[in-house]
Amino acid sequence: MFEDALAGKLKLLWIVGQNPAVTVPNLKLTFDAMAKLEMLVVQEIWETETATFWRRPGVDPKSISTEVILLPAAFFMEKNGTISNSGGMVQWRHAAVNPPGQAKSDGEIVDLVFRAVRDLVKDSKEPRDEIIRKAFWTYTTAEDVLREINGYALRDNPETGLKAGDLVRKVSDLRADGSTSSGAWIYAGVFANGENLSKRRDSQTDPGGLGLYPGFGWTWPNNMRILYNRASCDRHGKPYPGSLPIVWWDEKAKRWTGYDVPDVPVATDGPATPNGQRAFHLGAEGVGRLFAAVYSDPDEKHPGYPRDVAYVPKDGPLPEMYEPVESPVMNVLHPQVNHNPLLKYPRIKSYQPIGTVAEFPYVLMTSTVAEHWCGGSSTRNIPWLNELVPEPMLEMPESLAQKLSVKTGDRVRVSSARGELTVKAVVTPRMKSLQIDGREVTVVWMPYNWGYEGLSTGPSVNHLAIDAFDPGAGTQETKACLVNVVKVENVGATPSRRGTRS
Amino acid sequence: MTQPAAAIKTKSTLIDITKCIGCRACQVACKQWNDREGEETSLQDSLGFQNPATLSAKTLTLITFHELPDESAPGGLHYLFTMRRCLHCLEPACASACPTMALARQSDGPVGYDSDKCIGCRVCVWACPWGVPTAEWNSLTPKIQKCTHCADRSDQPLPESRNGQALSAGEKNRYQENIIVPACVKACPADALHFGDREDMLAEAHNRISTHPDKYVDHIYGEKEAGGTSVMYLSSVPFEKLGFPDVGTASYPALSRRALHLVPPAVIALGALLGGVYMLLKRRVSATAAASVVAPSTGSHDHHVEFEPLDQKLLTPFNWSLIALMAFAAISLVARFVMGLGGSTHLSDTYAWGLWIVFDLVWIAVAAGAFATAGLIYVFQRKDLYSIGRSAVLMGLLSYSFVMVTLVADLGLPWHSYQLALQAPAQSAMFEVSWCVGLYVSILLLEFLPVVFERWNLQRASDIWQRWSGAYVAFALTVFVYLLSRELTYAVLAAVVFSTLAWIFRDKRRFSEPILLAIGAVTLSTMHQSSLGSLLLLMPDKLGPQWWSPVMPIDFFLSAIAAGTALIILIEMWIAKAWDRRLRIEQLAALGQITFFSLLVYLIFRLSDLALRGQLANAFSGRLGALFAVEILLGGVIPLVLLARASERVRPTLLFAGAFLTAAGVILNRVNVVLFAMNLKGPMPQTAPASYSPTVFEWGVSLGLIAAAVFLFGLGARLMPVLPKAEPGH
Repeated sequence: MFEDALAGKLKLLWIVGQNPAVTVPNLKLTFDAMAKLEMLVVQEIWETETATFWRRPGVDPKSISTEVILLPAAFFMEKNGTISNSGGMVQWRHAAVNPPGQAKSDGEIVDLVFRAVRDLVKDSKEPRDEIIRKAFWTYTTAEDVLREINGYALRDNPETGLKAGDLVRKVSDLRADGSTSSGAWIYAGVFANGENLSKRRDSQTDPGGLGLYPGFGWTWPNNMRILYNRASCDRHGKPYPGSLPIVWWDEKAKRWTGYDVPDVPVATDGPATPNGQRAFHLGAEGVGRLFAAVYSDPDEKHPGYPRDVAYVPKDGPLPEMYEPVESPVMNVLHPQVNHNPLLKYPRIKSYQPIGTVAEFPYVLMTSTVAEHWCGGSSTRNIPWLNELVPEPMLEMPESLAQKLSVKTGDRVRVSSARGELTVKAVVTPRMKSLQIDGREVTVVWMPYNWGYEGLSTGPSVNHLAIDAFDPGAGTQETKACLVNVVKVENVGATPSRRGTRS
Repeated sequence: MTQPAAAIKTKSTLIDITKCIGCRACQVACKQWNDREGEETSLQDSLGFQNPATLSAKTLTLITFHELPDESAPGGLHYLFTMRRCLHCLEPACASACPTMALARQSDGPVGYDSDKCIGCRVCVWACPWGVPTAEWNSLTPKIQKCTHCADRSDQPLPESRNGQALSAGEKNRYQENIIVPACVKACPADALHFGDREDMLAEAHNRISTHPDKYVDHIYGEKEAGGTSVMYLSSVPFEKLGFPDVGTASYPALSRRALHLVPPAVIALGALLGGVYMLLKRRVSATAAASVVAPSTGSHDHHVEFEPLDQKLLTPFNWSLIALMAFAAISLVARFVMGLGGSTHLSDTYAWGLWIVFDLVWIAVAAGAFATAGLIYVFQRKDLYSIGRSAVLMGLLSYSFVMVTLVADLGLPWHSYQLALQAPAQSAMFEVSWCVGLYVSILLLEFLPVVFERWNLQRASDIWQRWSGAYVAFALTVFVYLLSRELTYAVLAAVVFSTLAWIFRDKRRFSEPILLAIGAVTLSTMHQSSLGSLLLLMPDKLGPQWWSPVMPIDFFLSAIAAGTALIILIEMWIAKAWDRRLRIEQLAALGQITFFSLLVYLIFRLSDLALRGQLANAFSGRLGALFAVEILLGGVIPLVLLARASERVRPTLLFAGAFLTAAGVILNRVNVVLFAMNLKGPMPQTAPASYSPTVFEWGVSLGLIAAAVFLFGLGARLMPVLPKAEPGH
């Protein structure tokens, strides 16, 4: 996106609750790209680095022509809505307080903008505006939106028993023939029978003692707490001996049952049927995969739709070990192919230099700290958290500290092919130099949560980090790039020490 | 509730250090529940990721980080995180020290704090062997802050509904069960904190150790420490490696309890004894006087000394400089209350007491001359010392008054001082000292009043004084005994003994001297001089072994007599020199003899105590040893030599040197016990003690008030008949 903006292809960027001016690696590119935008809309609860990129330190605001609009958003405690965790559990959150001033929930902001835009194009004859003029958009509350995501029957269906206008109750109520709607098919059933199941709070009922609490919130799909739970049974549908039973085939009742919703294609297709053996039924084979090649598997019933929607790695059937783009060593596994051959870097030569080990001998790893979250726009405005970790730091092993004559609290300048910054060092025996291919490889570490806005400010490590990403999932290569570290001498200010009052 | 005390279970938290992941959710949850501000920190040299360095009034819970090399550990390193917070002693030193019960242990365990009762004396900050209580130095109303084990959580009203839905009975019960759990325990995601009854937590801890002897050291910190605590720890490494102090297993309050419980009977016994001695000596003196009617001796001529106001110019250059210092003190006192205690002093949670308390301790010691003189003249019938009685009492009155002024400045919340009258702490030396000093000042004032009556011919007032001063003493001592013992038996006994004495000595013709005032003065002074030592009994872990002793109260009392009499000698010499009067060297030499004997007794007592407790061998080594040597040799042995012989004592230079060194030695002793010999480690985890040097305002108050005492003494001597009539022989 930022590369599109840099190329002039992207003119307007509307950023909701993200702070790329801190979190995106190779920040020089990011900042230059933002300056190429005609308009930048930032929807935030704070004035983040992204919102104030045009007046960041060292930059003349007059030199930036991007029109920047900051829309005041509501904090999560100030609005109703759901939050979905990594386990797929959808939990409703009630607004505890009203948002301050003109701040509004994200839903309200989007609704206001949409209606204003629709008014603008209501008489338009342009085909491109038709989608806006004809859009079904009647939401007034967050629950309206959740109902839409849950989905409706649009026509009567004797098979499912749903009448037109009924909310769907489960994934299998959905039809690929236009007779049902759903904003996200995996959420079908969160509003089953008109009840917002994400509001449920039964934290006591746990039938199998597995900690599943089926009456607490709602988990996609179909309130299933453990995906692929059929795999916990043997081929006869019995839980493996010595294991905690989760689901099983009930021979008397002739159906799959258990403490969780059984993850099977059809609940009444027993172990003796092909469906009863498909523990991974979203894959074409229905069983677990050790590897997968790229192939198409057209659905016989619905030609044109692939039956298999499971993910296939783009860079080969098997996982492979590659060195990062910037690495101090050759790939010891296969020296001929050092980096992922599908990884394209640099994409823009002038912005994406590659550092060499001669110039940048150490490996920089970056991550978050427990005390700050992501770009830090919220957490760096909370004094309690700033107290715990008040500033970014470069952590290094004792061996490097000895070499550089650095001790904890000293300032060091860290540089990569993309930029440089100065932070305090933390020297620790917890990190050790690595021996790779006969070479001593020293890893240093910095958190990425800082920027120039908020109550706690500090240099962003993403000035140093490389913006390569893996060709499969697009994960940023922020865990490894090459840097140099030097001690900064003659710092006037000595660190203040609390407790000394004289 | 009629439950027996034993049935009340102690709420307890078990901290398993091996499980802590260092996320510090507890540290934040603690601030949230207790509404504490975040501290402005920076990455610190020695701490790495730990912040802040220590507990403070803003930080009641702190996770400290430890990187401990250990060959046997995975990766050769233990990376451990330790929760630091109040341990909630079963017998808390802080609560026992508190003079107003602002800090008190609830019967179910938590050691809580009530700021409405707190006078801000900060004795708790020093009493706690772990450095838990801290003061709000940045506040104009500096309260003490410490973990309360979230005792206030159980007082919270339960919600009736959640998200608009009424709660079921079961849900309400669960709220009830959950709400009493401390904020830190609730926040812990790693199961490192367990909350429950102490017996259960102890059983759980023992169970973990016996189940995983490879994982834990066989020590539950807090099971026995300082008599046991409600918060207990399990660890994979010995606790000393994590910086946990070895505080022993004896309870701290017991250290001062014994001394303080002796006070009520001691007051009664001492009062009765003094009365008896007086009667005995009086009878002998009367007999001698009767015998000498025929041939009047000159022995008791001093009793008929006449006093007169000093006829000297007041506004001398010296007095102008005193006035300047007094102005300095006034400015400093204004600064103290405008800028607050933290803003105007360099006191900290490490040096919770500083220059002002040193001055108070020193001043009280050297002001012991007043009661010593009164006791000698009236009780022990040393009429030869009569001529110095008035100046000694005036100096004592001024000294104690300014001690009180300094105390008011030093108290963080002096406007809560009335709580001293409402609360009944069982074993607080601070409480004892407060009452003792307060009552003693009133007795000093009564002792001095006759001078005022004489000067302005206030016959009626004098009559009232004659009639009631004895009754007042009986009343004051009875009140004192009652406050200290809270037992009617003691109070009644005190009332009987002192009323009897007042009754016996009511006849002003036979007992012309204000004997009950003298008895009151001696009794109360004996008590508070010694109780200042009791104050430090709670600090065996901080005070150097040359100073700390279970008999420190007696050390303090004995040394105060030596210092007090020495200072009277010095003052009398100064009076003679400054106002060009005759030096009554015989009297001063007699006083010097008392100084000599009291100093001798003090030194023998102190050194024998050290020897008996096996502390003498190492007493002279190291920095503390040097300080001790100076105190003992320069301030003890040398003045003893100087004052030993009666023939030498009449030589002004030698007497001066002996008195000066005696006073200096005791002054050094008081400075040592507060500052130099105190190994103050600062607030928990006691790894970052602050340094201390007094501010200009601290010096201002202390020096200015000394100047005020000197100036007002000079003024008093000019206005009133304090000094004996200048003798023509000069």
